[in-house]
Amino acid sequence: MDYQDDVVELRIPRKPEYVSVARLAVSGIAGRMDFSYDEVEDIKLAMGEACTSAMKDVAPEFAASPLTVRYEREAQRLTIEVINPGGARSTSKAPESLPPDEPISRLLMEVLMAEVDVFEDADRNLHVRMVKYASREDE
Amino acid sequence: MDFSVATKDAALANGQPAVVAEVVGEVDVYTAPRLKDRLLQFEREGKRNIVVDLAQVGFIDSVGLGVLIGGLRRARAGGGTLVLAGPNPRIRRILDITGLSSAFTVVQDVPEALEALNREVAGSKPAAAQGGT
Repeated sequence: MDYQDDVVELRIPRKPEYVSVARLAVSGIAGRMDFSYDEVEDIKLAMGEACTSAMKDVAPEFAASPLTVRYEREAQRLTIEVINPGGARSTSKAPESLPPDEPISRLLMEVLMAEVDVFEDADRNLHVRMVKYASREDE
Repeated sequence: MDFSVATKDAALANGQPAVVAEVVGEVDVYTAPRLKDRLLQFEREGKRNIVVDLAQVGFIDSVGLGVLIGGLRRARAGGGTLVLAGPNPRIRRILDITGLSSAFTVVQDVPEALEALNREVAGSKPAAAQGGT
């Protein structure tokens, strides 16, 4: 099957209660790919960490801007991107003022996903892009 | 999604009070503040020997882990400790990945956690003599 253009986008309010919505959505997408149960759970956790970091990390003038979560499905690869308006480090918080659980959050994303890329764009958006490759051979 | 923290008082072999917090649901950025409030309440009430029962927790994120770390730190500062009981294999794996399984005492269930508290409290020094971690 051709999944070349299978992209799902979700816009969620920047409120903690909506992080679970992003997790549920990725569970629905990854659950239909060749990921094991544990891999789907890993993706859900990494997804939640990216959104949670974005919730806490924003310039005041962007506080009401929703987050965009983008899921891109390919045959054996799932790419997730969380786009945080106003989350660029240069405009939000100095690294030394980040919440104490931020290092744990980043560690979890790095360990649970195959690739994690964090970058800023010219519009002061912070992007967290994560990739997981499906390689299930047991079922 | 239901989330709750039920509290049950217990006593250690030496007569010191202990408390068991039975957590049900997912512990994430939305629900973790409620667990934190409960742990802060324990501190205000002088309850320093704490079991957090995770047997009915299906998910925990970094915010939830941060709340548990804070609870452990405050319990130790008061001369007690905080023991984790019954985490599922997924949560045990997260504790391993983050290195927290070496910071916490992690056991199978609440009775084992109370035994661990008995051992740790019996072997601990007065709060003033303890170093921070």
